[in-house]
Amino acid sequence: MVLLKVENIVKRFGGVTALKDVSLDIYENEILGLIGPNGSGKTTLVNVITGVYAPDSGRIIYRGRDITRISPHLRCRMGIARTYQITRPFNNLTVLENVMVSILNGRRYGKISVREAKELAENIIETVGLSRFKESPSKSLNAQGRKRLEIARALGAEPELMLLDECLAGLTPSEISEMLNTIRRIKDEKRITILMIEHLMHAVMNISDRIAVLHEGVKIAEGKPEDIAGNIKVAEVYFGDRELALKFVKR
Amino acid sequence: MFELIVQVLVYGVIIGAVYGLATMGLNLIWGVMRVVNFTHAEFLTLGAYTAYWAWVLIGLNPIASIPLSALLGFVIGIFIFYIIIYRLLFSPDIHSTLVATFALGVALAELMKVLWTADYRGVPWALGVIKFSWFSIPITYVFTFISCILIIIIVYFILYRTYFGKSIRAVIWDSGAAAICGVNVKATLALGFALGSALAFIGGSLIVVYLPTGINPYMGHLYLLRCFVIAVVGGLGNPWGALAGGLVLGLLEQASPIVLGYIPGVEPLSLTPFLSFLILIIVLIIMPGGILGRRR
Amino acid sequence: MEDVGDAVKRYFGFILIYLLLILLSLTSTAYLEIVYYVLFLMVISQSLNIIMGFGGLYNFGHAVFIGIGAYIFALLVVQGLNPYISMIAGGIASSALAFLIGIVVLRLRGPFFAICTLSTVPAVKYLIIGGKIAGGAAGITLFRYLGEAYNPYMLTYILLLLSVAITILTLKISASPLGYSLKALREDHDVAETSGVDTTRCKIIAFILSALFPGVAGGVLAFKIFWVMPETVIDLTWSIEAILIVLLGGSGTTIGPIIGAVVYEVLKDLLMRYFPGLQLLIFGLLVVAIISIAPEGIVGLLKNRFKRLRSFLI
Repeated sequence: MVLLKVENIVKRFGGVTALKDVSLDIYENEILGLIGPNGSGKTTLVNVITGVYAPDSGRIIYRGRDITRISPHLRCRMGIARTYQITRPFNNLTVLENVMVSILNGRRYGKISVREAKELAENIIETVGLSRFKESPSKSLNAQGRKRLEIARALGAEPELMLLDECLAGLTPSEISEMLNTIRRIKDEKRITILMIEHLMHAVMNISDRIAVLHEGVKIAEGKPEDIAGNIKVAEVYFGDRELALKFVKR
Repeated sequence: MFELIVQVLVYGVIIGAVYGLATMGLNLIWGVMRVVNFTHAEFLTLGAYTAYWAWVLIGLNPIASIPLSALLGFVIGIFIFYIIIYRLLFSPDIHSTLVATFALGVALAELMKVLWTADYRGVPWALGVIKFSWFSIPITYVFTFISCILIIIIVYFILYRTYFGKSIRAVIWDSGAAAICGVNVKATLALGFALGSALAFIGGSLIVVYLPTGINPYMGHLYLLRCFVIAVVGGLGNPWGALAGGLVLGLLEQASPIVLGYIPGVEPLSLTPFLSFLILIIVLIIMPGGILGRRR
Repeated sequence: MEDVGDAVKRYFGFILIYLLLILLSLTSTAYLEIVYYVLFLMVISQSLNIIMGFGGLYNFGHAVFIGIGAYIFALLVVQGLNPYISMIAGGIASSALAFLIGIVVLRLRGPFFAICTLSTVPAVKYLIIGGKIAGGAAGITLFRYLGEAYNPYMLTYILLLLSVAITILTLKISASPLGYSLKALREDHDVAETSGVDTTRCKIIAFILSALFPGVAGGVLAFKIFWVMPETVIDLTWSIEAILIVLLGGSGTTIGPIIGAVVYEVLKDLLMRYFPGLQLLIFGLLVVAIISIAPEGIVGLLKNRFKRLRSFLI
């Protein structure tokens, strides 16, 4: 069934139209990869879904309910969590406290004590492999640690839908495969639906059930990874050259 | 009635222009480096004292002391920028510069009190008045207004015709892009701050003309609220916004006591600042960018 | 579960300071005065810490809460109401005012919030003077109503009680979901929102809580000076002192403002003795130094230098 429906979203910033009539369905329990050249509007779309930006027109429908007017924190409590492309930890809080914030304010808002939240946080931190740093100030983490913290914090809200914004950027190959394993585990064990914005082709093709492609604010393709790989339009958008695209796709 | 309106308009514009000039520095500094310069009030005060001492020691009238104020303001601005402001620009806490400039302002005010005592001083520069059929304007006011316009034209020239000015505008617009284009951002910021500070000093010197006896170390506080209202109403990032805001406030301050005078049981002169505060709040809520500011 | 040892360490500092203050207050009337001032500063700084230290919002208008508390106190006492109840009413009025100001002003970020709150101080003053409210510039005199009831010890210990109350409240907030939410929105407002924090609600609650105690303290102030006028009870200096003390002691910690108030008063007395007239100048420069070099205040410095003290300084 469709968990999240993006319906005809238009978003303008002054003279620039970042999203031009974008529609997208995200099915429950899938990993949907969202790819496209820089500036194509991927992060803007995530911002609209999470409520950071209000669209100029169009709707966001979650589990059949129109959430377009609902504020970001309520969307989080409904089950939509996200990570940030440029990591934004709560700097002066420890790793543990970072995760506790989303646990206390996410789906279990008002129903969980601080002590219970702490235990849960410790489990989540273990899942992403940050146990060693749980009492360290989050500003002291390195790049990989921060990426993991973003995921841990998103997990803290106990989401049904997680929006990952380039969580692999800046990681070494071994760190990347670790992260991909973590993501697979999250999807399988916690039954979380994932939308993944990613640039690393092999990673996103590998892990996604389906893929959507954005280019200059327009969705130009959507389908299974194999289909997208063979899609001329997509290749052209990445190569910038139709000849080259044709040659590539023929392979 | 007509006479009243003309009088309000004339005085409002003449005084408002100086208010605007006095606030341009604040807007500029915010625009260039996103710093609210709470020391602005003390810069105004220092400008006023500069005019005072120039009058007492050298016999210069406030307008003639403008170059002196400008130079002093510029030098002090550079000094403060490199010693205090620059290192705080990159601190994770956005309030660092705010608190630092505020505290610096307090320290400067006290320094002035120590050096020159809290006595009220004045520059009794009077050249007579121009008489119209129903009201008169002191000639000094007219000269001040004209100098104000001249300075604004000079600032325009600096900002739009010189490399320095263009780099300031570039940094205001997008400091990253400016850096890539070869603009020395740090130097530009320093000069921007210094220019803002110089403008504040000049503003302070000119304001002296409008208060023949009111110079004291704490006069800045009186103008702090006014400058904020002007800066916000006009649009913080935009130096011309300061002008627009200044004119608005100037007119308001002239018109309001008269209008309020019709309300019984109220003291118009004290209620006017409250009105300007209300405007500040309303503008901040509805149009954070101000009349001419950019919407962020 | 923390053991008794940890619990003792956590409360040790507070108990020590409060006991010292009580002892000092009993030694002489001169010291009673000093303890009164220290406690007054403590109350306004600890309360400011709730919105500034935890929430990251620099409320330059904190002094207004004291003023409103003083005025409500005066107005009620003149009507014949018991002074102590009037003090509490002052606190409630102050909280109500905080709610009204808050819904308008709390949506502003950083410097805009500071500008706006800074402007409320002269604005309220001008409103009262200009609108000739509650006696206008002349204010309300209270000699007739309170003259006999004046008891400096009582006033000082009321402040002590307030400080203890804020300390307990701050400790509770710090360990509660509200505390975590406030700290999160202080660090990163947008990310807090997408992590589920209802920032508006949290900010308003913190703001109201931060206004309650200065409101009551305003009543204490009015009782002490017997004459409530805009000039005497709405004074920007308190906002500045409160911010200074919070920064000096350690913003966001519970014991920070308490230590800060004591250190500040001691410094102020020393400066008055050796460099009279230069206090504000030196304090101004001190704040600049703190912001540049030791933004985490005394508590931060001590924690970094003396790891053993970590559990004592919360």
